[in-house]
Amino acid sequence: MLDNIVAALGNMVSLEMFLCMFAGVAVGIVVGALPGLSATLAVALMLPFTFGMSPTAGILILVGAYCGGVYGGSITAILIRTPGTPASVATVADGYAMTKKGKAYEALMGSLLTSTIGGLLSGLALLLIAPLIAKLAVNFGPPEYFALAMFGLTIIASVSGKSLAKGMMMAGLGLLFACVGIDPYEGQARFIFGQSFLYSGVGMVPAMIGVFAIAEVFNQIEIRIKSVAAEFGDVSVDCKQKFPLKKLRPHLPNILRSSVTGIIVGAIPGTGGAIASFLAYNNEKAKSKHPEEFGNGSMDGIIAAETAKNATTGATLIPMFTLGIPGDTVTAILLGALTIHGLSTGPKLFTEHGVLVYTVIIGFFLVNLIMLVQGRFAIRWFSKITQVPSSILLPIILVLCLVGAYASNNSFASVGIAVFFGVLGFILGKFGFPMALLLIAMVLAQLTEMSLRQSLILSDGSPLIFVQRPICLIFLLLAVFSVCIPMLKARRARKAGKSS
Amino acid sequence: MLGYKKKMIPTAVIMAIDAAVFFSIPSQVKIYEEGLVNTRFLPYLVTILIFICGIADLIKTFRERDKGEEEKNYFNKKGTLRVLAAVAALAVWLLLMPEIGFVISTVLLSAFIMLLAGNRSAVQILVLSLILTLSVYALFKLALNLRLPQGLFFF
Repeated sequence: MLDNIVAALGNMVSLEMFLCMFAGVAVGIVVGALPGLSATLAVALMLPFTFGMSPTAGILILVGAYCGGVYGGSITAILIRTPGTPASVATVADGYAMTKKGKAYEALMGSLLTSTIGGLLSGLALLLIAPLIAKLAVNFGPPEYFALAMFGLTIIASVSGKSLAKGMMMAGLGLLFACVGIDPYEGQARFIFGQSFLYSGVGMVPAMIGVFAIAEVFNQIEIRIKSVAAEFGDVSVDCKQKFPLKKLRPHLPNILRSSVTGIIVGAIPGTGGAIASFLAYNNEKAKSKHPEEFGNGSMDGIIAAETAKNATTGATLIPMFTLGIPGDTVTAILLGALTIHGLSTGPKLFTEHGVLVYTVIIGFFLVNLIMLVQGRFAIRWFSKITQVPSSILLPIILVLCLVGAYASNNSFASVGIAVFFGVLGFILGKFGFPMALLLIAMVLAQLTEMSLRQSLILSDGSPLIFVQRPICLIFLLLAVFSVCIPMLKARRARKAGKSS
Repeated sequence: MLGYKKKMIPTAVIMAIDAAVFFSIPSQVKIYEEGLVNTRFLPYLVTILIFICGIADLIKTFRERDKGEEEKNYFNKKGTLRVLAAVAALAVWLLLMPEIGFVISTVLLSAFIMLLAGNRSAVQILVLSLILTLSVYALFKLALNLRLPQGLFFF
């Protein structure tokens, strides 16, 4: 291992490598920030450029686009309540609330620094304990995936706000929307109503664009604010102010816990940044002494979501390098890139191409540091948004969203779906329905249904399978505590309020 | 006091749509074989869950009717009309874009949205709509190599 690391360090001292990482991160941040586009698209866009490069340079440009893309979504989530990627949905509420309070720079810098820390820690996990984590990930079968999905859905209890019933209705709606299309298990069409465009289902990206961005555009057209600054006071993003690292010291336990969450979830194939960010957010809210602040501009909420989200980036490379299994679409593209360059993929990648693997791992650390530098410039440019008059900003956001929705599936139907969800988000948002839960449920729906049905088939219909496997049981118990503890705390607070 | 009835409307509407979906399951979701856990399992589970939660929400709203909250106006009339106009504009854009192309339809859409948002400067509306549309076109078509509908005039 040490020989490979030394050789890898030698490979990194190269202008080509540095330029590749720099370009990859830059493209990733811009594409990730644009609603409707995603880290996956950023990676896919960079793929053709890698054909003429060395395998290492090619992989590093893709890793740069991946890390930049995952981080980039949080910039627009914080500034204009429009998450660039599904993984940034958990950041929207607290991030935008901080912007309205004039603390956008703090939110953006907190997001950038903790994303970088999460990425670096996941790189460390990749370097030191990849085989161990891969062994744990391989033990995840359908019951464990179901338990993980249930644990993820318990976020309903904490994000529902005043009305758990409304929260559960939104989660139910999200699960129902996710049923539209082809059943992932039997291939039967569900709720098509004779419309061919519904065969591909209701996409997550158009739904996200509609619920957050288009609904917000409608809100602003309705109340006709002059600009974010005019409506909420001085929200100008002062990029000259300092944000020293020591500001994050009180949040260190949060950062470490959320990184661990991100690393473990990221190492499990088929999960991803969105699930990790929701889980970490939920966990921190449950542990917080001020849970009422979550959703209203809590720095802890932003830190938890952002750290966990970027901590998945290194972790998703673990099953790819150790087992040759792509954990998600991005790692599938990375494996494809390796194949294009004539390298054999599979469990022997680590042993047969050790120098390349370690070069990529060390490059991963550098990519995160480059992201830190580029992120500061990106913040400076994107932050001017709050000063732009709404009559100019709203059409810009709307057009980008509509084109983004179109680009997600190359289909007009996706744009129609985005507008539908925009109207739904506008109307239901007025009556206190938490729309974020609709999206969370859509993210988790396929995992929940597939794993439940597969588990029951494995156990011949017996639900005992969920309590007979230790990892599954642990997640289910965590899910139960996650729901019961906030309810007990709320009941105790109500009793204390009544008696005083 | 009557404000609580207004609060109940969205929940009631969701429950009504949910009931319609529940009864449409046998026709909309075909199954290969009978059994508890099949293609219809999740739709049935979820529609029942939504209905039960809807009832819980209605009961909660009814119980809290005497809390003395001020009757809230959820939608302001002029604002709602502007939003309806925006939705109509989006529908027209969706219909026109394949015919007249991305650039022309988007310039018209952006100009209309700027008007709705309160901009009254003809120069700003025209110039910014053009710049926005052409920038987005360049970004998606040339830089990101994504196909955008061409329409009659090849752009």
